[in-house]
Amino acid sequence: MNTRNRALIVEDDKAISQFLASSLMGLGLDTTIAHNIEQALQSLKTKKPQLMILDLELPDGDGKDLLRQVREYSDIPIIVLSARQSEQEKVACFNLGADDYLAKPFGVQELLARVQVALRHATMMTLRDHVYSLDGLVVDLASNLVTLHGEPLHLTPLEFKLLTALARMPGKIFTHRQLLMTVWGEEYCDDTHYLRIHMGRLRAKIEKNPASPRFIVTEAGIGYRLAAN
Amino acid sequence: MILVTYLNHEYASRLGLAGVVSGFLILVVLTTYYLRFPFGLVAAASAFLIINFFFVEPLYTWEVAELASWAALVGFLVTSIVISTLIRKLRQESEISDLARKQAEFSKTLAEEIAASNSIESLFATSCELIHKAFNKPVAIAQTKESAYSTLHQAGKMRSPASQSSIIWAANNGKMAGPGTDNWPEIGNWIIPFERLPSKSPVLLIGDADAEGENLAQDFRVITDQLSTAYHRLCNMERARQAELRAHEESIHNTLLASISHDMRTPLTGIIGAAGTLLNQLSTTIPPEAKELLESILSEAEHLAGSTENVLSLVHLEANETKPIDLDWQSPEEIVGILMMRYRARGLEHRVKPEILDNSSLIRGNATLLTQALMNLIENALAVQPESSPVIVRVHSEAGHLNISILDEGPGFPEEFHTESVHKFASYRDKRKRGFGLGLAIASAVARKHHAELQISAREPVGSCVSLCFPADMAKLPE
Repeated sequence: MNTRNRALIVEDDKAISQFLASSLMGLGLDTTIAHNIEQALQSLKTKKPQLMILDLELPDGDGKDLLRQVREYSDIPIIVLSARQSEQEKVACFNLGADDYLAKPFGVQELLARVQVALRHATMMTLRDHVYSLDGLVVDLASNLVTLHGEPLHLTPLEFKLLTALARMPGKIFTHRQLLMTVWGEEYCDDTHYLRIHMGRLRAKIEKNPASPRFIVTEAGIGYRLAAN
Repeated sequence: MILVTYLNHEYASRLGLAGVVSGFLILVVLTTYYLRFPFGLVAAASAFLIINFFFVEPLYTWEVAELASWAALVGFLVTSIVISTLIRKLRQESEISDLARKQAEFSKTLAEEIAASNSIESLFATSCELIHKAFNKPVAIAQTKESAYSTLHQAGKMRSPASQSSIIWAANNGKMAGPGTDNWPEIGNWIIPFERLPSKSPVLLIGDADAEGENLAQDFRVITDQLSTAYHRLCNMERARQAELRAHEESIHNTLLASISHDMRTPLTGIIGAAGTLLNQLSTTIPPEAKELLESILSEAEHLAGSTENVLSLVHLEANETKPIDLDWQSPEEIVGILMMRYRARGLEHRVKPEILDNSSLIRGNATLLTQALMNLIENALAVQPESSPVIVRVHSEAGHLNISILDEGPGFPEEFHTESVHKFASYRDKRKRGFGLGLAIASAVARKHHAELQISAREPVGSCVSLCFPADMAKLPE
């Protein structure tokens, strides 16, 4: 029985879909290519992929529509690729349930790193608690303990909530709105200055140099993610 | 009068005195009606004397023999005067009524023509012609500008044009001048500003003004108010049309730009992706020369991708010059962090050193644009920076302003260089540097979008400091 993960590549440009398939096969994934939304929906039913790479500009519609449809019945990781680079476009995709967004043109290494993170999230979703550990920073979600180089860190409740929200899915981008809603509540979801201030304080406690962070990565105009292992 | 006298004289025996008097009475009535009242009075007096001379006994003398004749003559005179007076009043009322009708017709026509005007030019042309025709006076509309004025439209020739100073005064004070007003009543024109308050709106000029027509001043004020309302309506329409046109042009630009962006980024993605994949998969199995070639393709394609992004960004910024950008609270330390991560990914972290002297201030900004502007400034600095020391990215506050500065030790900017004269496609320091010379132009455009200032200063003993300086109101947190 074949236990290899399968990636569905939804991309109308043949040159791009070809190198994507080749790169993903190098990572040990089987691939299926769909050049439009109709083919993608068909492949989702028949091939049951574990990951979807989705281009937004498709000949029979906007990739966001496909993203919306898929999210109605599936939690598979979806990485969006697009030549559109506006912050609104990226945030819209994350709000529709995209796991990641890569602006064209992008490097293969970056894509492969994001694919690995996305696949890891897919397996982690079945685990309720886990331990995040990177370069001396340990976030134990089961025991609510944060240590840096073995020493317990004294975080305020807000800082702790922020860190654990990110640590539940390392490498996944959380939008400003998602973090504000999770940590502060719905009525604060437009108050980004709260997020900036508390994120600055959290960085000051966990980062060696907050101006060159290693743990909390800022995605300009979109949100934050915790660096994956 | 002679004819009536002759006819009466010929037929006096048949007509009798009553018939003669009736004939002259008809003559007086007709004279008063068709000529002026004074002529009617003269006709009545003349008829009185003629009747007395030719038809009252004793004939051909001024004497009157009988009392009854006196009574008839005086009765004729009184009746003539009364009838003439009544006819005069009737005529006056008829004239007033006629004038009112004409004015009502003029107002209606003016209102209709004004409403039908779809441009300011046609409004001015139509109204000048109508007023000129209705009042038989030369009319002009002028626009003042500082200490001069220009005529926008004129109907009829001004025999004594209004002085420039009086026109400027009327517009600047929003007050009417000319006969029947408190301002320069002696001049031969009416000058009526469109606005009753000081403004730069046009003024209506009516020539051939005289003291007799001073009651017209109020009529002209009312007409000007009508014109002013229509003028402002058309100005608003024009502004809305221009805004719509701009929005349409921006929309076309943005659609075109999105299409070009897609067409440029897609093949670049293909080249970078294919070269990267081949390098990943074949680097250990292909000859070193082939690997070098692949690395060269990848490096050149990445460079081209960076330059393409700069061109697209600048075109986008220029196409949307007037459109505000989405601003959000940003942490300058965080923006520097994004840049540092990019240099770390390129293995160049050691060449850029962050110095955060203010880590608590936030600014209103767009993270993507700010990152791109600062990245360009750092790239420019790295191109001239000695390998031995890093470029410094400094965040500091000064007198309420927040500055993000890029400090290098390379050759400074030419003395004549000024940030207001930043040109596209110009390298100011390193003439050998690759690229399109867009870094400063992008930083300058991004600064303008943030109401910030791009500042450049020399460092001692060598080098430059290029800063984005954000004003205090862009760095003020909400209550």
